[in-house]
Formats: sequence, structure tokens, C-alpha cells
Amino acid sequence: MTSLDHGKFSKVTTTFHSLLALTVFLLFFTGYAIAFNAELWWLLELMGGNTGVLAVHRAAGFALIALTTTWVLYMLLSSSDGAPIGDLLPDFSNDPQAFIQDVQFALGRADERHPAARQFAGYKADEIPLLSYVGKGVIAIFTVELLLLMVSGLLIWQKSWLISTYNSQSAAMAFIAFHGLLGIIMLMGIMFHTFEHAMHPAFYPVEMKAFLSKEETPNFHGDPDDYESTGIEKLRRKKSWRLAVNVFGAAAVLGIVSVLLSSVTYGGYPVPSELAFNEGSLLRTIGINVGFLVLFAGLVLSMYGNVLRARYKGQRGAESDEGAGAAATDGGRRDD
Amino acid sequence: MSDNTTTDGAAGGDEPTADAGGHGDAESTDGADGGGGLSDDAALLVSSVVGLLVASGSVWYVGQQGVWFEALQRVRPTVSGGGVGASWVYGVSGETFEIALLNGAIKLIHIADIVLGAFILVLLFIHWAAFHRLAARMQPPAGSEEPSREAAVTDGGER
Repeated sequence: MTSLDHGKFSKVTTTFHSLLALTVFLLFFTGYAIAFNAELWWLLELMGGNTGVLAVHRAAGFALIALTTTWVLYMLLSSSDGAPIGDLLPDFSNDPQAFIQDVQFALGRADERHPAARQFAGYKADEIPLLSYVGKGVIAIFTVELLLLMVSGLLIWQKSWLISTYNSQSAAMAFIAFHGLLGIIMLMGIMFHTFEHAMHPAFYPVEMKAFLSKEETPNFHGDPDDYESTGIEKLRRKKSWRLAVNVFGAAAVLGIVSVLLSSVTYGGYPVPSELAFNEGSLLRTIGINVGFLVLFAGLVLSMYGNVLRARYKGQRGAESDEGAGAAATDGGRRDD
Repeated sequence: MSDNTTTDGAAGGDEPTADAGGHGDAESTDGADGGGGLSDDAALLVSSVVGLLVASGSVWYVGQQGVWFEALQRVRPTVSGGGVGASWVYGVSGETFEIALLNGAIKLIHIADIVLGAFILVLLFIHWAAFHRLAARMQPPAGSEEPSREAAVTDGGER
């Protein structure tokens, strides 16, 4: 038995993913309203100014520690839910090949994406691992990053501690700069993650894998060898997809490039000896704001995924209510 | 596709009712590989309690590290004697090992930002291109001028 596109996450994991998304977006919006204040001053004002925003940032940081500890421990303790750790870690014999084949596929030199890269599984769901190579990379990088972000975040929670340890006020600023610069990787990664899972033509506007748990996802019981392809050619493209993918892709690129370039010139530490007004740059201001628009779209989509889940479950419930026997033969209209 | 649909329908009949039960159901179907260990509900309970304890504990610990302010920044008249402003100068000078370490860590993160940022951009571009290739294989949108190539639509590719 395999799953058709392809619910492989438990309900605890999908719930964790949604809560983690909420927390991380909140941390982005509050943290970078401060770090990129020259560009996102309006966001800081909108959320109630410095004091309030820092309080929200700390509350979200608290939630992040509680959430990630809970989920990691749950995965280790649970007898049925925990995936073998190997399924979550990058597979160095397979994943580089999947990346290379992805490049070839993008250039038109390969006919299919590598099974370890495929997002739309269809009839071939049997061959698809729990996570694609990108998904494994995301988990690996996020684990290291979140850990460092939590530790550095806790250290700057109480700045007088750092000041007394280093016997210097300005050295405490180094930890703040470290914390902010580290988050940039995550910021760029989440913009890509949103693009990757929102703009796949078969799933647009949101891939339900992360919202519909494996118990709720329809299963495919056929033999994958009976089918030549994933079956994607049977699906109909949405009309707005072409415009959406290009606009969203361009916005994500602009956002990533802008925060990357800004992070390079980010002058948090060593603390400047002269008080210089940051002139800012119109281009950079636009770029960073576009990037935050992309993140906001990510937040909205992660909410929308849950709306779709509720709607889908409602529909399934209604279908099973109207005549248990008859409904099965003519099939649900959603399932093609 | 049709055999697929019927099995979906059959599965759909019992799944939604089972959902209310939560994680216990998953356990009964997937539990074969588990062997010993806690049930999912117990595991979730234990780990959320530990999660809250870790979060509260770390915030509490950090909160305890505050300094009695009079012990901080004692006033001495000169920079060499560690006077007012001396600690500030010390922190940005980069002369001692521990300050050099902080500088190094920040440089390292700058490099990581650039390397990973470039890699993320590469990934984004290859996905962008791949999505266009995959979309070309799909049926054109309803109501568009492109003629549909085959009669496959009769069984309803409509979502």
C-alpha cells in the first residue's frame, strides 16, 4: 500500500509544522523589523514599537524552544510515529545524484526528476522516499540553525550577563549580530521553501502533504510498475499558475538577493565608533519589503493549507454520509 | 484511475470517523515496526511536558544571570585602568583572543550566508525551470485556446 501524493506525515507532525511556521514567521517579522529597521520601519511601528515587538519576539522564542523540544522528543519516544532517523538525514549516496539530475531536468537533459527529488509522486508513490533531498537538507540545516539561534537568542535575552562575562558592553553586540546574521539563512530558506511547495503546478497554490496527515490522505493500491509515468499528464493546470509562478519566483529571487546583500553590509559589530546616519538605499528597501511580502504569502498559505484540510475533511464526511454504498462506485469528484 | 477512485471512496468511508480518535488509530495500523515504547498519546504528553519544562527552565536560567548593576562598570578614571568607556573600547578592539573569537564567528556566519544564499538561489532556479517543464505535461487550463491533445479528459481530469 502506498499513498497517492502522498501523505507520509503523522497528525502530530503536520500540526507541529503549522505551529512551527506560525512561530518562525512571528520571529522573522519581529526580529527583522528590528535588524532591518532602515527598510522595515513601518513593520515595527505597525506591531506597536520596539518594546512590544521585543516582548513578542521573546514569547515566540519561548514557544519555539517548547515546540521543537516536544517534537524531537516525541519522534524519539513514539513507538509508531517515529520515522527511522535515517529517513530524515541526508543520504550522501543518493542525494547528490538527485540534485544533479534536478539540474539536468531543469536544463532539459533528463526526462524525469530523480525519485529522491520528486514532489508529485502519483502512481510512482512507492518509489518516493519520506522526504525529498531538499526536504532532508532543510531538516539538517534547520536543526543546526535553530539550535544555534535558540542558544544565541537565550544568551542575548539577558544582555547584562554577556556584558559581565566579557566585561564589555560592545562585545554583547557581537552576539546580537551573530543571531541576526544566522537568521538570514533561515529567512532565505523559507522564501525558497514557500516557492517550492506553493508553486508546483500539480499542487498550486499549496502542497497538501504538510497539512493532510497520512491517515487522511487517499491511498493508491495499484502496482506502480503498471504505469509508465506519475500520471501528472492527467491533471489540469490552473489558469493562474503561469503568472503566479513567474511573479512569485521573481519576488522570491529579489527578496533573497536583497536580504543577502544587506546581510553582507550589516554593520552590527564591531560597533561603529562614529554615529553615522544610515542613508539606506531605495532599491534595497524595495527588495527587502518584497522579500517580506513573500514571507507574508508563506504565512497566509500555511493558514490556507489548514483551511483546505478542514474543507476536504468536511467534503469527505458529507460524501460518506450520503449513501455509503453509492458514493464509492462513482467516486469522489476531487480524486479525478 | 477508476480502481483507484473506488478504493479511495471506500477508505474515505471510515477514515473521517477514525480521525476523531486521533493518534491511537495510527498506532494500530503502523505499530508493527514499533515494538516496545510508549503509545503515541503518552509520548506526546510526556514530550510536551518536557518541552515546556525545557523552555521555561532555559528562560528562567537566563533570567537568573542578570547582574547586580552596581557590580557592573565600576568607575575608574582611565582607559588603561578600566575606566568609563574602557569596556566599550575593549569590546570593539579585537585585540584579545575572546574578542577575536567573536569576530571570527561573525565572519564565518557571513560566509555561510553567502554560500547558502547562492545555493538556495540555484535550487530556486532549478525548481522554477522544473515546474515549467512539469506544467507543460499537464492538461491546459479549462477554457484556454490550446487544444487538448487527447480524449483523456472524458474520465474527468478536472479537479
